[in-house]
Amino acid sequence: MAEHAQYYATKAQANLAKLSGVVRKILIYLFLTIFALFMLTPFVFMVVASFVDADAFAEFTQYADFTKLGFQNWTIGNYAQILNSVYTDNLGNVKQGANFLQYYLNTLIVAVGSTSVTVITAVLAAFAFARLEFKGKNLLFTLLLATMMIPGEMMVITNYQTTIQLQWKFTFAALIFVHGVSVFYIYYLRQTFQQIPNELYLAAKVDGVNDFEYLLKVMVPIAMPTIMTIVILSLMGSWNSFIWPTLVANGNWKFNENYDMKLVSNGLMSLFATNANGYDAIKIAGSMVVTAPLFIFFIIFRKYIMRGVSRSGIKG
Amino acid sequence: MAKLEIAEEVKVVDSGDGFVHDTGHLISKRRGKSLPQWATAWIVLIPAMIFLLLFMFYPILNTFFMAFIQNFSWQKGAGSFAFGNFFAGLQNFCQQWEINDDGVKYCFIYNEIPRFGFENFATVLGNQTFLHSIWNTFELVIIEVPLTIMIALLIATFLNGIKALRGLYQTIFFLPYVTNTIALGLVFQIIFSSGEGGIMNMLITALGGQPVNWLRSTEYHLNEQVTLAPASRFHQGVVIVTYAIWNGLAFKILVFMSGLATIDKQYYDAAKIDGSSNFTIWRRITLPLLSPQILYITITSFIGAFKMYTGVMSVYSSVATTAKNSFYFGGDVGTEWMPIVGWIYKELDSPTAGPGVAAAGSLVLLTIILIITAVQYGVSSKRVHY
Amino acid sequence: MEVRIENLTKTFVGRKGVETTAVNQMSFTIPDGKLVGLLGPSGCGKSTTLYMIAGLHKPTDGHIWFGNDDVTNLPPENRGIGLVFQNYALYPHLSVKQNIQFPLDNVRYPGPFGIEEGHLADVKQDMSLTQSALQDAKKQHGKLEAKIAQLQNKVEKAVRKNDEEAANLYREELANNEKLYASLEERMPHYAERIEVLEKELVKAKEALADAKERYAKLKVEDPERAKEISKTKLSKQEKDAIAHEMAKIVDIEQFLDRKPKELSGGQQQRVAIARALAKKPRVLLLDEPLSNLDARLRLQTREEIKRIQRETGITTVFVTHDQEEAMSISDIIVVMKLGVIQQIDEPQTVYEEPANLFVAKFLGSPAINVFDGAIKGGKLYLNESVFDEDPCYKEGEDRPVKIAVRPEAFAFENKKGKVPVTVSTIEHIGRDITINGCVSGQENKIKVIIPSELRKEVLGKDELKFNPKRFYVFEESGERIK
Repeated sequence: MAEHAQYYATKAQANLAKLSGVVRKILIYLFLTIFALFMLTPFVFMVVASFVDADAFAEFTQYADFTKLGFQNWTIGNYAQILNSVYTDNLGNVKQGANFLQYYLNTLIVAVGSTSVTVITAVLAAFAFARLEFKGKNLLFTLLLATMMIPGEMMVITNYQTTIQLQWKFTFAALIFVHGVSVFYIYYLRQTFQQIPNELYLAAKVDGVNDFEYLLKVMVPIAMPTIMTIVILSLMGSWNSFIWPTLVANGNWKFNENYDMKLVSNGLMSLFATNANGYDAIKIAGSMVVTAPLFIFFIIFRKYIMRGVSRSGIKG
Repeated sequence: MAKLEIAEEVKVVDSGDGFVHDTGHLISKRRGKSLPQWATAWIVLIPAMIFLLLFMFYPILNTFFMAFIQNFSWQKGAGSFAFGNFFAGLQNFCQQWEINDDGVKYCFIYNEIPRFGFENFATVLGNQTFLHSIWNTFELVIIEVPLTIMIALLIATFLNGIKALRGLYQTIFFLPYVTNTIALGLVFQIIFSSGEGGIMNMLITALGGQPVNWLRSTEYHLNEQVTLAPASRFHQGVVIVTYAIWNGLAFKILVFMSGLATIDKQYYDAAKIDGSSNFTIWRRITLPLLSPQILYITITSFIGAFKMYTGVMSVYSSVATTAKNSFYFGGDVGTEWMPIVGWIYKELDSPTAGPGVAAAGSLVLLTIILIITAVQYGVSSKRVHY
Repeated sequence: MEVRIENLTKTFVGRKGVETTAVNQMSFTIPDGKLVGLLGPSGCGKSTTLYMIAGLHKPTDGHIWFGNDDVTNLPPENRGIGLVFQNYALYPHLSVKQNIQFPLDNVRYPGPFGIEEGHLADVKQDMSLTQSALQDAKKQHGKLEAKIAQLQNKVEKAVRKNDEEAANLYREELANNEKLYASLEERMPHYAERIEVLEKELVKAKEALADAKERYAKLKVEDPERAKEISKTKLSKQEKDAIAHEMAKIVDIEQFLDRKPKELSGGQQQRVAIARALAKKPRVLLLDEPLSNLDARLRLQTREEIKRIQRETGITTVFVTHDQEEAMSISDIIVVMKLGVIQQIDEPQTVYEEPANLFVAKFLGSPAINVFDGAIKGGKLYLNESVFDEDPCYKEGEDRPVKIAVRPEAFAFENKKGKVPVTVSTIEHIGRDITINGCVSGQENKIKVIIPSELRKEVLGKDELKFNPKRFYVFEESGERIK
């Protein structure tokens, strides 16, 4: 607005316009800040509560005594209790912990496994759909896209039974393979592959490269940013998966009765469900433990994640 | 090719002995006959196709068939194929055999025999809980989706208009997207608790109001179980919608921002020269040019909202309602705010109805989604500017 | 390497089974070491021809020879060609150096008997392809025979029923099928012949390989060190680097070796593409519209550059262009094409001065040639009712309308007895020339005349001017040249 000031008839009018511009700016920032606070409050609450000693937190809520949240009451005891299989409490008693380190490991295995499978299948299939000619290509692709409309529950009903039949219940295979293909990632990658000019393929033919080598040496390196985005979104999806693991792997591992194969989401759910002694600070520390790795991941890969999400619109 | 010789140190061998092998002469690697493209295509499609057939196409068809089999149940040893179970169910018609006085075996108690028909759909559509869950979902969708879209649109427009701190705000608004739905749902549960950690109630009290019983009638106050007045449907709805908005804003803001970034600045300059007000510019230029994104967001949000489940569940899960199966929730009394998907999961485990009814329910959900998508495309085809 | 093209035909089958012939029965020979331009309007089949020489398109019929090798059935990588694409097709993720070296990962030295092995493999492949072609032909032969018999039957029946209309329809179809049958009959012995030749070749190739192996075995005993030396097949890193540097030097991009393609200008990218095409030391270099993506100034410069590189390397080079000026300026030989058929092959100046037909005359030259409607009447050539030219060649044939074509610069200003009266509309001065735009009464086409600027004073301000053609061409209405 300021640069148009010369068009106003009098100086007073120009000042008024300038002022209304400033007021507008202030209002905009106010609005944004209010919503930013709305977004941030749960996180701030989570961070603070997770560090406050459980008893002190309970007193804070009981008497609305904010001094209880002060640093003097901060401890990493909540985390010790959440992460380890055994921990020592204030009185020196050794107690059973929530064992989230193990859930981390489980989730990591599943995330890496299923992401590898997903990416490999997606790259290969997208290659066929983007680059190769074969009968029935369009029909098959349309069929794939149509499945994106169908609610996952339709598949879960049968898949659960198939998992039992394959004797995959309480195995990592059920978590890694049943969602080993993502139609969306195939579609997304195909779009990227199709942008690679046809001449590059012909050039590679002249240079003596066969179809597979062309995929590995030319297409994959060129599409690397997209593949990275897929890897990251897929890892995030695995980390946040809940319903399917609850169905097929919410307990001990089939091959070792002493190994709890829960994933982080399931672990958190059972923490909230079974921990009846009601110390919310510890539950919140659990939420923190599940959320924090993703946050760090997000800070590192912010560019890829935001780009991928704005193009995709899926949440794992 | 006289002048095209490789550098001195490379040219090694002189071929005085009858071998054609001077190193300046290059040939292509020999390969077997190269595969035709269709063969290569099917080879690279195999891995994806195995998974797709087994865990996507097959389940979809199977669930479809299952929905038309009444008294469907999973029979031992019959696999996951619906027809296999159907025939096994026919053979397994007797629940209890007896031997009569003549020593002849006869069936004393019959099983219910599976048969084809539309009964499952009748059951589903006649089920009060299901109809209630559809109503619940509609109610949540109608309130949540437009509200979220409007807020997201406002935030995106404002963000697009500022320069300072833009990155920071953008990151803050995106944070909910990278959080674990369950973890934050649980945190919301505590924030809206009427007992420990009930920040919301503390706030209301501080402002001079009466604390509200947000979510449930049983709470723990310092380890003691306390029974309160039942939480009202309205208050429960407020929590769910707040969480849904909080959780859904990030993605929508991001999509709108990327849409705004593609709008040519010249339109704005032209409008400014014409002396249009900011609001006019927004209504006449920004909105129409953003309409593809708005359509996309509207459709995906409606579909997503109809499939809502995890969010509702994580806000509600608690000791009180997770006695046996931590899987289907709809609030305090179990079904108050149960969404459609929650009902499907409940029926999946139900001893009375079973998978056939759940399958029919999922088909009803699919139909609703298809109708909404079609209607939205139809309505918007005239108003979206590509 | 001499490139010989024999009866080359390419037919594309479209979506609804409609066949389009992109290249039709084309034959020509490119002498060793020449720079040849394939010239024609878009859609004339020039790029298709280039891609067939490269091996990226498989010809429907005909053969391509590099020297004495029939490369028709060889895949592109085994032909020894370098190809530069219109948009350069550089690998965006690789540096310039890696781009140039990319083809080198897929080549090797022949080793002690690699050449013999390669030859044997080629012959075998050719054999199997020819055999399958023969089999296909036989199958079709049988089918056609049955079809013809069936149609003959139908014709007879129709005749018996006195249904003349149906009979004619069947006869037409019969004739078509018989034509196909005849062409098949003609082709089949060719295949058989070729198989015979290849069988002999196969024996020879096997012998040669056995011989080479034997000699190598002997050498291994006699001089193990030397044998080891020969058996080397892979290119070392140093060798690859040396080649990359050498190629970069030829096209003058040595300072950019570590850059990515997108950090280079269009002209530089093209040099990289040429360097990559040269890296394998091709027998034939092919360029597809090499200058079309460059701006006007760079185009002139690159034209010279291509000419220089071709001279320096001496590689037989074929390039495709739709720009006649480009073709004229750098080619040793121009091949003018239209709708998949060659119109003329000659040196640039000859094509310009002695166009074989109206199409060539119109296509070459800027501004374009002037074309008038004329007529041959009683053995004389007429333009607008007045005699334009007399020549014995007009005496043949009947009286008929013809086309008279005169290049703009081929007019002499003769205001008194000029044969072509021009009504002037505009006069443009372009440095050393004057361009006169106008029309000739009784003619539909406008006329453009270019005369030296010394004549300025005589033409300025006049509405009517008369010219005499110094050189002109006479074509049939169908385009063939008469004079």
